[in-house]
Amino acid sequence: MSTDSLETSTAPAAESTDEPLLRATGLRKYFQTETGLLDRFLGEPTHVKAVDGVNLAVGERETLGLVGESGCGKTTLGRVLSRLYDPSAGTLEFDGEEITDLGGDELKRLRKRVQVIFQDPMSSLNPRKTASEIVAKPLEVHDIASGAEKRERLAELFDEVGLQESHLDRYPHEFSGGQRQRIGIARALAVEPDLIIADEPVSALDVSVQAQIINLMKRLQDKYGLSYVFIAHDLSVVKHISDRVAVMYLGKIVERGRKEDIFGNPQHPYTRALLHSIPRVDGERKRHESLLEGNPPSPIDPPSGCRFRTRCPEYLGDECAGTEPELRAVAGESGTVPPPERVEAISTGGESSAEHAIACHWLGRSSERRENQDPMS
Amino acid sequence: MTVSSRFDTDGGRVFGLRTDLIEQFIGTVNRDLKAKLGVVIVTLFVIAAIFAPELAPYDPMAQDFAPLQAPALSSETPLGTDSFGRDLLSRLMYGARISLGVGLGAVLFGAISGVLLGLIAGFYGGWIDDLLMRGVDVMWAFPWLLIAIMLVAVFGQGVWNVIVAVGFAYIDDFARITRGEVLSIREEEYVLAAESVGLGDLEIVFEEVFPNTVAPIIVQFTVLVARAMLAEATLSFLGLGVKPSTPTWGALLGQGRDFITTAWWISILPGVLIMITVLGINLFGDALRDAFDVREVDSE
Amino acid sequence: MSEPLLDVRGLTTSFETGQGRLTAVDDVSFSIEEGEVFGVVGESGSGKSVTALSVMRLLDDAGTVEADEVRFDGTDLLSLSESEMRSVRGGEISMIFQDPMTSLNPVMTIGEQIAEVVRHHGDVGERTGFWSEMRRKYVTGTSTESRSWRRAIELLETVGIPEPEQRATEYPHQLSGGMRQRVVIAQALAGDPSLIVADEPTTALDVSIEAQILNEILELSDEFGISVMLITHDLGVVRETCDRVAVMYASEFMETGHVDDLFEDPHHPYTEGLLASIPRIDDDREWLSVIEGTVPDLIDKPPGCPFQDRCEYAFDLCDRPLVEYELDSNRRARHAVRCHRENDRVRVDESGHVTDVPDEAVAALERRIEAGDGSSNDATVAESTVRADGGSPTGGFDETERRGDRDEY
Repeated sequence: MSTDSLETSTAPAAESTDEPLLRATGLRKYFQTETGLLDRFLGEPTHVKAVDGVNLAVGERETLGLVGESGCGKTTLGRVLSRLYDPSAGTLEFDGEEITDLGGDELKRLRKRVQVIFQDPMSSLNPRKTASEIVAKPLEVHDIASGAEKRERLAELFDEVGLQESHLDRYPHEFSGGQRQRIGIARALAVEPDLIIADEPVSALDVSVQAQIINLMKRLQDKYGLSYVFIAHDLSVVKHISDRVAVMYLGKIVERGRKEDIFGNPQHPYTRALLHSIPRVDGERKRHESLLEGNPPSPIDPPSGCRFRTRCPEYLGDECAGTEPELRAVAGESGTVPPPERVEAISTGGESSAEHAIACHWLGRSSERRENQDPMS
Repeated sequence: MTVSSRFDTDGGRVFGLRTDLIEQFIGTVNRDLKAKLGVVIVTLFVIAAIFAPELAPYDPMAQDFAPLQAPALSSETPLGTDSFGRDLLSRLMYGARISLGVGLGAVLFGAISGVLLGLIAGFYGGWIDDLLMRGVDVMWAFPWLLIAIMLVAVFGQGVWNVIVAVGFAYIDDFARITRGEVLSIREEEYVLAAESVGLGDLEIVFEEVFPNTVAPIIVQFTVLVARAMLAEATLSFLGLGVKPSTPTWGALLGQGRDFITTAWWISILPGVLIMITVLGINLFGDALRDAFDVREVDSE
Repeated sequence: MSEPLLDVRGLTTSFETGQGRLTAVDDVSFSIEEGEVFGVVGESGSGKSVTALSVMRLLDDAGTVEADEVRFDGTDLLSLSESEMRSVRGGEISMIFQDPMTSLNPVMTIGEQIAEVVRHHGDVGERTGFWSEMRRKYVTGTSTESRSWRRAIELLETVGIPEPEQRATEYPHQLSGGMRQRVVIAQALAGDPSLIVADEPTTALDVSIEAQILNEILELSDEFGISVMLITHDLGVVRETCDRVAVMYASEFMETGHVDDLFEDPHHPYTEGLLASIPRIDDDREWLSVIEGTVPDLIDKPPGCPFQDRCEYAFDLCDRPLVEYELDSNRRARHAVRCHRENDRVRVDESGHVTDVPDEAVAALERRIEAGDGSSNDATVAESTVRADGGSPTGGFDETERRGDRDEY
């Protein structure tokens, strides 16, 4: 499986040697805020900076988990990555080719390789089409199959995602939430894509159904060698399916790294607070104080310097308000919090920890001071 | 893996309509007494209109009888005669052709133009939306009667001019309704999903968006057919409609006004027919809407 | 033990639908003590919200509510008139709903909305007649000097809203989701309730905000001794906030007990499966466990355990009517399970599978079913007569029908 190959590879940084499947550089997406006709002539336009300078890469057969609170821009990022939205700035490369400005037939060819699974399985299926019509559409659009061949392929796809043939002629409203999401997965799978961008695919589902869908997605990945960008607000779900994780806050990635690093040894104060605030099912039952006070600020006018500083439990002072921290590798840096004992065993991956990076002014500062100020201890 | 023969991705079609929709419509009609009534009325009037030459007892233009005869079921002219001694029953049957034809034709004209405008404006948004919808606003601001008078003045009297004149006034209704629906449907994820699958704009508009806007359009359609029939009556009444001697319900209504105290039937009978047709078409439209709304259908 | 604050016995709610009778709540019994946080956890469609709405008598005419008893603070809620019930709602019992945007009136300032509840339930000596309210609403507004307005500001401060005087004059859309939910909580407190029914109060919120709101609810419960009935689908929320919890599945309470007991040593196969299927932060399983199959149809619900088709431990007795078994050993609170595996005479092996069902086990069950509530303990298990006549031991359990979702991995 993918994780094995990554971990055992001796290459110092996977990104530089192995060309990633998808790579985004300096990606930005701004939306102009809704204004009346008059405002357009008179005022200066304001922009919602939904995605504001994101670099990321997704390797082959790899799952990148993308986490953040609502409004952090993760859905927009997913849509830009799949070229459903056009980026305002930055470049996108897919399989070594630049795809930032593709249009027409070239874009259509890209659609055959990059597919999307949506959050709301009800809203993402046309209520007036039967399940088979929905799943057959990509086959028709890309001239993959028709007639008897198409029917056979449909039956195959339905079987693959755990639906039955009797489901083919039903309308979306006749299915349960989990089954609808299976239809969405079958639609994405129909063109045999290389990369699937899944935007909160299980958020709208019940716990036990979530597990079914996550397992299904993992199994399909193993079988077809898919890559995923798995977007979620739920860290525990991301943990389960991802190889690497990126944490987003207000349009920027504040921490990224291998799953073991992010969950075992989180470094950015936001990631740490987020992990801390998840209600836990096991372990000591405790009612803890929330580390994150208040709400995320508006992406129209983000705070100066570090965007997280207004809510940061480990706020340093003027420096945080002054300059915007860059995403920098954690390995060997001072200012990091030592991982808990239990996790150290997992994350001794040596070279791969180079990937682990955060955007925070604590990096380079004294580790001792940070430990003293640690709100979690 | 075997595939059941029942399964067919394209669904059965009759005259381009999906059989399951037809089945749903028949189901609705069977369940609902009002729907039945609507279907019966509409069918009856359409048959009367289409087969008027075969069914009408006399030539509607022939002045064969004594003028202003009162309706009497036993007489040769069961619904009486007009001031020229023409058989009113025959004239009403021929009149149904024009009245229904103009009613349906005008609304169809308005619907096709308006829905197209609304689809484009709503789907593309931005300046296209602004341009088209301001244009529609201008249309709306024009009194339709004025447009009708202009058209008649330029092209003369005729069925097609009436259809265009009346239908023109409905473009803005359809454009607005369609645009509103499209704006909300465009936000649905299945539209984005269709884009991600690789569909082009045209396919998305007509496959994903349009079918979901149909319900309110049908309702509006039936409401307006009724109103268009009244508009045709108004035009004919004013002498701006089809040629004066041509029988239409509106013209009959207008001709009868001079005799309203002495020969009430000339005005009242077409008036009642217009009323019944309007009612029938509305009931028919409700049934259509119920049948096409898949979400209303109960799941097993 | 003193009288519980809310005592519900044998609550059954059903709806007449086109396809038949849908049992949304099936013979549910529970009680909530003073100052206690009681959780009801279940998946969508399990009937947890309907349970709360039935107790509050907020269901419209479509639903039929039957119960042996719904006793709140000594009064029988079912016997109250509609107007008496109205003064209980928002007063003694108040509700918090999932979506704070839809539960607040968008065209009224939040101060007005809270002040209105204060006037109606808080006994501040201000006129609440129709015309007085209309005058306030359309002409004068609530005077900032009035007791109800001052109380509203106090309440906003209590729930942790900064600059309450300023905020009170704002409209709901000017606040963030978390702030709105705090306003809803303030409104719920306005009637000085002894019980708050919170229906998925944090589901619409982000994790970080969720933690804030849950803490707020708990602190208020501690500070004012308010009992909370917390309805949620999130087991993590239950674990961290509740004292006791009931697990609901297919309109029935499958297992009820102290949170620690239930999470550390679940007895019902459904509870077990549910706990195993949650993705957790600190486990490294490659595959999540999955409960196969889907929830059964609640229309014309057959007798017997509703979970039997999905249960790996299913055995002969599962299609007999369910009764409640109380576990007595070392529990932190009364722990009740509706699963025939708990029958004393049924023999169970190490893995939890049933090895032998002696005749006396069947006989004992038979007696309990016939006796109606023949349980040896104080649990009033009023097995409805409808259920008791059904089900013969046909052994059809092994052909577990796969419906809808099928997933074996």
